[in-house]
Amino acid sequence: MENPFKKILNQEALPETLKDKIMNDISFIKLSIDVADLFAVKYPTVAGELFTMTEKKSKKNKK
Amino acid sequence: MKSSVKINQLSDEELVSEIVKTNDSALFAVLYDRYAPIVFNKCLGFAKHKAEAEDLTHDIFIKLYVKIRSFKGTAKFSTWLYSFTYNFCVNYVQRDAYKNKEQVNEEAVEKRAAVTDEVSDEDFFQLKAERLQKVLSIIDPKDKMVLLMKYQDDFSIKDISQSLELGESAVKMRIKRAKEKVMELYKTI
Repeated sequence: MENPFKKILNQEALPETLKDKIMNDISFIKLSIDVADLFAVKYPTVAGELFTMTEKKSKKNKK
Repeated sequence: MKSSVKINQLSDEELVSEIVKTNDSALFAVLYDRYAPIVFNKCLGFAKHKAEAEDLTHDIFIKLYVKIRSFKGTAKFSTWLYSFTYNFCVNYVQRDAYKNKEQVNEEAVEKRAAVTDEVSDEDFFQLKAERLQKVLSIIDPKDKMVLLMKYQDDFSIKDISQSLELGESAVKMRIKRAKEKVMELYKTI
């Protein structure tokens, strides 16, 4: 017995231009995530480590 | 960076885990190439015209890139993506104002359907494709989604229950009701 649901499947071709549009938007999202990560996570981590290093050094020098 | 031959040999699940690890848009492009035509054609089933289906496909892939981490690998990636697509399309259609007009008819059909006997798959497969398509365009998109999952994409009850976050008995009940509604409307068309 044939399943009518299989017959109503659309078989239209997808326009090529859509891929470029999607990939551009995704690149922009990726850039936004990376910039946010840089300023919100990486910079504060580096700054924090830098402070603890200088603090340790100054404590050692005092001793 | 893996060679393109190697990337093409990766299974969907491996590809997804690579995308999650690296956030690489080139890998996402491979995933796009594999599934975009299917997603687009599924969107066509819910959209009023081709341009709307293109917009839906665009939005689905953008959302997919952001949400791809939520794929846990409990089902096949294709199953997860199809239910992701259906949910997106159903939400989109339900936001549309014309839904309110249909709701009145739906309720009436639901009441009538409550007294009918269960529709067997055999009877269901006797339906003519063209008329079935017409019926599917007017029924509640949630019912349409369940029926397409079951009969077009051959999802198991377990797959549907996972994608809809419902119990298996609730899914069976939804399918039964959706079939009854289709049969009711089919007679009136």
